[in-house]
Amino acid sequence: MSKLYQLYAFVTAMGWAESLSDRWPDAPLVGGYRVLVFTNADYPLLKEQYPTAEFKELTAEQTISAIDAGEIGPFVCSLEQTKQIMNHYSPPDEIN
Amino acid sequence: MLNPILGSILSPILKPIFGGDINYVAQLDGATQSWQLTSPITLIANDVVELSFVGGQVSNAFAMFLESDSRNLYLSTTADSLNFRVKAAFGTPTLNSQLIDNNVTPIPSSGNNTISAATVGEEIMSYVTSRSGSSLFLNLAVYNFRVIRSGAVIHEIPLNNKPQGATQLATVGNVNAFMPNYTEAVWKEL
Repeated sequence: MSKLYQLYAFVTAMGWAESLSDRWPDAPLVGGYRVLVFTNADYPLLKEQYPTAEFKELTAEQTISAIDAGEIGPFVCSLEQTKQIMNHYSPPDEIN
Repeated sequence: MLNPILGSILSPILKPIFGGDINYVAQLDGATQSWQLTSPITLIANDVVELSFVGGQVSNAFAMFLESDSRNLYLSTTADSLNFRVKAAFGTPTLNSQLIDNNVTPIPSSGNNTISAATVGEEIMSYVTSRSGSSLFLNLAVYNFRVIRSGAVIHEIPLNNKPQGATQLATVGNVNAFMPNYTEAVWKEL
């Protein structure tokens, strides 16, 4: 059995509200997009369940550019890429 | 008696089926996951809050181990994620029973560890580790959240019951914990 790990998909807030919020109710909002968390085992199933979606696997920088351009996605990222993208839109809080 | 070689092969297969000594911990991702209490806990002065964790490299600045809703008390990492940072209102914080020196005590890079801290005054706590929507998420595996009042455990959530999944049930008290953005991939063998 292959190792189970998490993947992250950035989807438009509108797309999330229309059809994905029941399945991913806690998806955080980043740069106007929602972040869906799933596993590598789920990935092929998601492609079957959402056959019209064009899953894109870009670099973190390319994903940021695509988000800034308002592209539809979904943009599938690793954890490290996701953190880079989240930090781009929401730099870490400073606490006192 | 089982042949030792055969046993080493079969053990990982049989333990999940028949039980055994496999223990799991949920490894938080440091980006979207934390443990949210199903109802807030009201802490009073001198309550002791305990949390165990598996040592490791923390990925975020100011990642929270414990914080109250008001953030009058918290136990976090420093900006470089290497040491513990303690809000003064959290009294007598300890790591493995040794007093934590604010900004000096290093975060263990391995092993099983327990932090504890006594509260100075009344506080509300709704999360274990960081609140949702924060950038202060912790990426370590945490378990055994406990609140002790006058020497008696009043809340205990082990946070390590893999079959329970996203909602972990209390073994003491009636407050459970829920992990937003949970997946099965969070579980690691302890």
